[in-house]
Amino acid sequence: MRSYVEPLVRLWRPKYRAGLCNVTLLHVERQGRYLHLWFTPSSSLPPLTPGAHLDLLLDNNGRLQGRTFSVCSSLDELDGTHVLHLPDAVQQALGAKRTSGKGVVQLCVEILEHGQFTPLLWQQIQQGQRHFYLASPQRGLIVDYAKPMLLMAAGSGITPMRSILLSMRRQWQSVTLVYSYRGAQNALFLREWAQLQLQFPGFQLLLVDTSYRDRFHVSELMPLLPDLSAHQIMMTGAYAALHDWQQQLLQLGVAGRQIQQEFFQLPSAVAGHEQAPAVALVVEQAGQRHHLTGQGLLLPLLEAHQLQPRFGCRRGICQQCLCQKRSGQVRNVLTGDVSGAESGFIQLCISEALTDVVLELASGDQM
Amino acid sequence: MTQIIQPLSAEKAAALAADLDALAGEVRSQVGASDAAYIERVLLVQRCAVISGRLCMLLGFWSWWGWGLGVLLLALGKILDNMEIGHNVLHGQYDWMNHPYLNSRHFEWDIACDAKSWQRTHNFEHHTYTNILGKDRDYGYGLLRLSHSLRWRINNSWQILTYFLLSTFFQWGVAYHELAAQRVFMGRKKADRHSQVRDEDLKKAFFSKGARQLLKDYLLFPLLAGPLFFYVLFGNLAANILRNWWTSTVIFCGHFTADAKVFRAEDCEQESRGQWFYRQMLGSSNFTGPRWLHILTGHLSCQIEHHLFPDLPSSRYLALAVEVEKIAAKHQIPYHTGSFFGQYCTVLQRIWRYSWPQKSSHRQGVQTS
Repeated sequence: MRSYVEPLVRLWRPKYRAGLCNVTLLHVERQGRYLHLWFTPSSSLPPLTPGAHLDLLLDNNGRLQGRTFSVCSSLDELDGTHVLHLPDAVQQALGAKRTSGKGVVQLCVEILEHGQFTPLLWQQIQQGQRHFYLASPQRGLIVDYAKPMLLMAAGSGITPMRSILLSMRRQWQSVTLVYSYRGAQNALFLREWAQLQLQFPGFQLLLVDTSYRDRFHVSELMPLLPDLSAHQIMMTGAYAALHDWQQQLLQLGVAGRQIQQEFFQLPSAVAGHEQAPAVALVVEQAGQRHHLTGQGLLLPLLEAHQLQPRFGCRRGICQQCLCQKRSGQVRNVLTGDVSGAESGFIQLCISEALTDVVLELASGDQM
Repeated sequence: MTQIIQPLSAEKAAALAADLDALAGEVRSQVGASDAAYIERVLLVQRCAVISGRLCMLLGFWSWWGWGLGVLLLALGKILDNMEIGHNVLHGQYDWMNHPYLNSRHFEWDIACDAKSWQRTHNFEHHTYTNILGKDRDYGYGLLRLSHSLRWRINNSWQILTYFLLSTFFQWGVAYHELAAQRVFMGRKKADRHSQVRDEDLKKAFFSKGARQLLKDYLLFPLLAGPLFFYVLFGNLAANILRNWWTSTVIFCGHFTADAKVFRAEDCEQESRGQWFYRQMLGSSNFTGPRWLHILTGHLSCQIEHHLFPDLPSSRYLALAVEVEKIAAKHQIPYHTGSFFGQYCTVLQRIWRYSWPQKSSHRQGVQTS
């Protein structure tokens, strides 16, 4: 129904889009290669939980382009009841708009050199764009504040940790944060971590600056946390770092079910590749995940692994093999176009993966 | 005489493909905000037409002119929904927008045919095997004989009546199309026909979409009109029939004109991209007319361009047609076009001509190129 009346509603509310939440950018701060963004959402944004993620979308030449980000805001910031952690500029801007008692959604975005979305976002903001959309909020990491927690974040993976930790009202159990970053200029939320240490004396913080030391090894935790068996362990960041940490934890006897992880893959400069490289594919369907590797066109690649996605003409005409790409970059072999790393539709029969890709097959497709 | 066409030579096909791909690439690079604004504008007009049409029908108790206007507006809304919006969105022409519902995965239209079923029969079968006898079921819809290459049966004698009946109930014909091909309800399954969808799922989609349309047009809206129940019921029926006639007429003008060629399956095996382009050009026909006519046809008035570039936004077809005609001339490929009325007359002639068996003095012609 909302989509039916959308064209009419847009006559007097041109920015309205059915199914999307309008947000206004209140304030932006740049820190090295990161952007801190504070938005006021419209009332259509459903309640968010700590560690949730959602899509930030912008209009790029008629195209709704988006990428998934974790929300940094605490529950209090989201509902507008406690905003003291926010910069003065945000509080002032929020104060002027607080008639509806709304909170603020904070995102921290890394501007990726080869990315298609984040450089565009920064460009639009610099050009004065203040109107964006949020969509598809998803519950990300599932937090139980009554259990001891070990949080491990690499780079911009720290963003959901801010939300989780600042939403903690009382510390019941041991809470440890390992935060790995490269260079002091890229260390995020240091002010908040310091405040948390003051607020919760039992909160343990390990800052790991990899610009002058090796990547953090889980064995370094042993003096602090000799027994990890009761901990819930949450890891966020780039896939490579998380994979290493996970293996190290498993070697230490940690059970796989204790570990939750959210990883992302960085886009690379792939446009010049003549031949598609061998990549890892994750295929999601009806709650199941299939992991495979290979190279070349995606449709025969999936079929070679005994998956049976729907197909038709196999030459890019009929759209029968259209599929949701959750992340990763692919090349359309007919046009030569390279997709962004963000979510979007692709045709399996004419797409070859250039990076690791996550695909979502319709539940009606055979597997 | 129907001419069965053999494929273009590999060299000529490669040159044709290079020219057409270059043209498509150029247009594709220009697709953007103006195309998004266009389809959103059409959507707004469609919504206004449907809503005002349904309201105007209620004026029937006061004047039949009001009722008639309502029927016309509702028919306009349904035509825009089916042709310029539905047909083109379901082809994926606007998938690049990442629009929440104007995309080929989620769009559902105001017609009895389930969108997914239509995508399988139309996007896949018809666009892949265009005018290949025995493979493109859109060629005559299994009801009409439009070539002497097809066996004559006694019921072809009255196929001109079958055609008018099909046009009147066109949305139901389209809805039943895939089920007929799969012999879901009657007939023996063909050994060479495979489907990725189970018969039960086809039946479920057919009945659920059909029931939804029937309930909406012939129960829900008439009930909402209270004492004007029958004004609305018959108004909806009239609008649906007008839409059916229009869509059928436009679609028949695309492939069943006198000039449109047919092909043999064995000639199209291992077809190259250029040869596929060639077949699309020879198997399709355009017609000319004012801008509003093109919009009402969903730009299927540019059937040749649509078959060459089914994923490009349809509003680009008129400009593309000029360039495609030049490329056709350069490669000495016939480019079939004419006035709407003229093309429609040749469709009727064709239906009439193939109503009768081939006389022995007229043998099947095979043209090579």
